[in-house]
Amino acid sequence: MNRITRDRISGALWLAAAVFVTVSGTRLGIGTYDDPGPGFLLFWSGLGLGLLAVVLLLLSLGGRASAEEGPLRLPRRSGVLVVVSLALYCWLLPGLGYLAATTGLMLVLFGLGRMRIRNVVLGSLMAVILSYILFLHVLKVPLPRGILSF
Amino acid sequence: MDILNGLLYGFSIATQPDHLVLVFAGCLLGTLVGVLPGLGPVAAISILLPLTFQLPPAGAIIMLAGIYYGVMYGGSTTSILVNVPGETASVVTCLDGYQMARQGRAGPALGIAAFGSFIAGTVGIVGLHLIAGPLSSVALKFGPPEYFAIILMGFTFVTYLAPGSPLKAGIMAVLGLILSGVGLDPITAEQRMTFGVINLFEGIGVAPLAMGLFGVAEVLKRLEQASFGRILTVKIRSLFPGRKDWLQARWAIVRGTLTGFFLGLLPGGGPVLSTFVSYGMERRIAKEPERFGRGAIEGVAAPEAANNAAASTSFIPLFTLGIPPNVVLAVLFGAFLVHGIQPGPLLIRDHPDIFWGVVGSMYIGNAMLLVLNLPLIPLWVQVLRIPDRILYPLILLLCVVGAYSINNSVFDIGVMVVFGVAGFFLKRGGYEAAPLILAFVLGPMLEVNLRRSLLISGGDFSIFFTRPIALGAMAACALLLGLSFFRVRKEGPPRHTEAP
Repeated sequence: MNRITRDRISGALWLAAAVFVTVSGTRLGIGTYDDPGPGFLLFWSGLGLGLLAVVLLLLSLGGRASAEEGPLRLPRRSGVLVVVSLALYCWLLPGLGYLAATTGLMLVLFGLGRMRIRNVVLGSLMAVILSYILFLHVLKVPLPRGILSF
Repeated sequence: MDILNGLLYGFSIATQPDHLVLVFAGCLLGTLVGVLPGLGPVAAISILLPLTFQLPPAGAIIMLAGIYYGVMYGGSTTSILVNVPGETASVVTCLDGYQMARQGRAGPALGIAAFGSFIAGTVGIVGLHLIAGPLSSVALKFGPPEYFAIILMGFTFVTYLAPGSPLKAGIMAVLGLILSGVGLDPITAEQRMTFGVINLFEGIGVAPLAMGLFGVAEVLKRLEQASFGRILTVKIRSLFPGRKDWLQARWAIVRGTLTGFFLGLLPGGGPVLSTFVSYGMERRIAKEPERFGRGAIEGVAAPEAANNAAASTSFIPLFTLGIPPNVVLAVLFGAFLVHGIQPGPLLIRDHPDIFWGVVGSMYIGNAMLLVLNLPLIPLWVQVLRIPDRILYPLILLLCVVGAYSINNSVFDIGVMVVFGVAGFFLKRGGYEAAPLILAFVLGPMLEVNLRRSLLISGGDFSIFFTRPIALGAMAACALLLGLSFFRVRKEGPPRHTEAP
């Protein structure tokens, strides 16, 4: 995907977002100039975003992709794995608790670095235990306990 | 409190043992982050913010400020030794610093960067404590129209000065403004774009947003890259520049200091812009401009002086007007709010311990950085050898626990991850996150002051054009918008640029 296509797609997305924000602002109530309502700034911001998106679209429709600009690649497998593991972590953290969920997350993250299994496990355990001590005992952050109750 | 008494009071606070430890910790952590390529001051302050939650506000701000100027100090090390800037304000230092290192002059390059940073940083702090008081008194007379116009001018400056396309920077700024509107309306307390999610009633937190856009997105971006530059295996004989080096660099330091001093005050300016301007200026006035890019010591001294002077003076708009002039200070502004402190013209009167304590700590921190960091350069070189496969999981762990600890909420981790992914794609699309963060932080102030101005004037927009300060700011906005328009027309479709 070259830059021009990328700008067309992002321009279309911004335009859709602008419509949504403008409509939301209208629903909230724009008010009047002497008594602006809660939707006042959203409405005008939405219109502003829409205007900029249209300019971006027009410029990208009139432009040609140049060879020097590289294609837009999707994130590599490691990037996707990081995002998926972080999403799973958010989902599992309240139930499993900090120690279990974070150990799982760190095993995945260190595992992506192609280290020996022993180093992955040791590194994960050290990172989790040190962060647990720092945040729970030093900084007094009530980390989620989960099913393990500690 | 007059300036001298204020300064003595500041030193009495900054020299308390716990504050000295915090200054030291801030400077050390800041230098560490500055040394590590990729993570900049925004990510550092966002990620380390939770570490300050248990501290009293003065201590917390002292530590976070230490991180900021520590990053400015540390960024030059990687620029000189690896040719990879530790953070954006050190990009220019690569040009001549790395060439000096290749010629076996890494020591003088690192030394002049450190001494130049110290001199400029100190001049910046002198300016901070001399200007902040009088400016605060003037700012007390500002009403909503002045505030609205100045904030709008800040938005316009940031959009105009952002690297890459001004059109895309403008889109980011408006997006930041929209995101700042999520939550309860500041005047009527009605829900806005919360979709019924209770966690969104208080809006999106600045820390998860910044951690996502600058921390997680940076890790995702770096996962795409194979490796950083090669560390030069040079033997650093002496870090003290020789007489000839000083003679060549002295005026560059002076000019860099002055450039940074004034650009630090400018909304949207700050350290990054000042380095480019000062380097360009040195090259233009040099008798032998062809030396630049081939190891000219002025090419290291001037930008390093400029970014440190700007880092100090950029606190002035934050402390006196309550308006952060750049994205790092925007995150620091969020940190003030987390600790229940409202920066602005009343800060010096209501919280003299914080203002003068931070000023005093900056003097001490600058001296600490000079004394501690020169001998520690071999250690920082070793830090550069930490493999990414160890570093990035640890950064993500800090992000995750940090985001959680702000409100003890898993929701904030989710927000961080969402903005991390968004930040990754935005970077790929040539969109800079800095205007978004700044607009996000300033958005509520902009909205409240706009609505109050219109209430005062009965809906008459001429209120922004009939008061001198507001008129000046609006004229600057119009000028910058005009320049942006011509730039977009001249350049055609936005070009794709990625921040280093």
